[in-house]
Amino acid sequence: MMVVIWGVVKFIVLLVLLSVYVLFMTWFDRKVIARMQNRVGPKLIGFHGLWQPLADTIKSFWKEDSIPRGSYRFLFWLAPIIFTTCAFAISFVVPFAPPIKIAGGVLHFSVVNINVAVLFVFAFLGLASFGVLFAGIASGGSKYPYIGSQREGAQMISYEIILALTLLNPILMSQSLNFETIVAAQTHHLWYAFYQPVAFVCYLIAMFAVSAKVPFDLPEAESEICCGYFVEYSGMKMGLFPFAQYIVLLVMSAIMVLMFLGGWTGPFWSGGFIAGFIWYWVKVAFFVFLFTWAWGTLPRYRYDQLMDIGWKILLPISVLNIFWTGFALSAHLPFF
Amino acid sequence: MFFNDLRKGFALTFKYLFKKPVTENYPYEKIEMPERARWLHRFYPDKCIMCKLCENICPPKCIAVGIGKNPEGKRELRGYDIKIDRCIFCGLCVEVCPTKAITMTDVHEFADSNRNKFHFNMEQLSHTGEEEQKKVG
Repeated sequence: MMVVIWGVVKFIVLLVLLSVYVLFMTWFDRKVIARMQNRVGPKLIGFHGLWQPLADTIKSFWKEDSIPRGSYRFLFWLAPIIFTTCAFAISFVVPFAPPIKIAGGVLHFSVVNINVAVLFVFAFLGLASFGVLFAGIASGGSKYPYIGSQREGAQMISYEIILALTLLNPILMSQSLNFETIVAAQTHHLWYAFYQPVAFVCYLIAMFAVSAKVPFDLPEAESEICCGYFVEYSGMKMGLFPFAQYIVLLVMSAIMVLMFLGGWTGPFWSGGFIAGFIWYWVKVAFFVFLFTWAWGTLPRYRYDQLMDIGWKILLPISVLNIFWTGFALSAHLPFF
Repeated sequence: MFFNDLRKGFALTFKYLFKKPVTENYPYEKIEMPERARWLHRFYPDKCIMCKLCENICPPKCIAVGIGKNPEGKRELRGYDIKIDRCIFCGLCVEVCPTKAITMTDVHEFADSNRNKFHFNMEQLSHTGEEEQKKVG
């Protein structure tokens, strides 16, 4: 019973925190991109436009919620719900702070601390792309959403493989699928990024592709298919898509930090909850900033280039990398 | 090799992150207009020779020159209207005028929600810019 109550409390806290995070992430994105392009960005409402996302949310609540005539209404409603739900589901298993020992047990800062957390992430990441696919199909034959959703489907299939193959290396090395165990395994050695630089780089590229951000933002390429799969959406239904996308982005960054960069351990001043908390969030914030940074820097890949990178370069490299890891582990090479 | 282009690009955008934005804080701070700004017209009725060149060259046809005859039978300027909401501020009327009877000024803040406010007649056009000068003086 206590487990359920704790779960619900954690769930509500996470829901609120992630909503606030998404709100201010839109502000952060706009502001950073603007400054990179020598513009000012939002600045009127609140301190440096900090309340601009709130104003935007209120506005989109009062927008007319139009559904195109030829659309499949059920799927049209279902698509943003699936996408957002799956994105939230991914974030349930990710620890957002180091666990602390309290009387009678350990307090985990993930909603559920399960032993197959990595598999859970992959399962719901795959399901999340169904939201996008449905959005495209339900838009009633509208061209841009259809193209965008097909792209998302192909991109997800291609890059989830790479994501899984690269994450297999830390999993093999730590012999665990639980994030906290994997982090604990990294405290004995160096971070896994130093053992697995190839997997690290491959994951970094696949991370951008899976969360559909620049330079792999093909499903919602503004200049080609004008925001892709959510063209026909309006109001808060449309707002749910970027909402889920920002959560996926955060979770991808968090998994990157947990699997490759030692989670809440640091090169110095580690141990203790506060130090761990700060180390963890500094690293995650760097990767979240990297997404915005890349947005302000890089152009978009063509579709065939995306597929080439995925299937012809990253996939062989990560398969070979797994062979190497398996060999190194079974031969008990130094540092492995 | 070693992703040098990537490094250069990311370094550039990171440097620009700390540069001062070039955006003008316009409605809150007025922009200084250049000396030869091409905004609202000023008309000098004394100089006008009623050749109608400006009316003919105007691409959106927003200038109307009213010409009548006085009791002595001479041509006389009755009116000079510009529908400024149609005007594209190309400056062709200024270029074509042989006597420089029409010029352009730096008065640019005359936005309004009422369309009729954009129909300027000869009386208004011949005093363009004077109110602003009074305010300054």
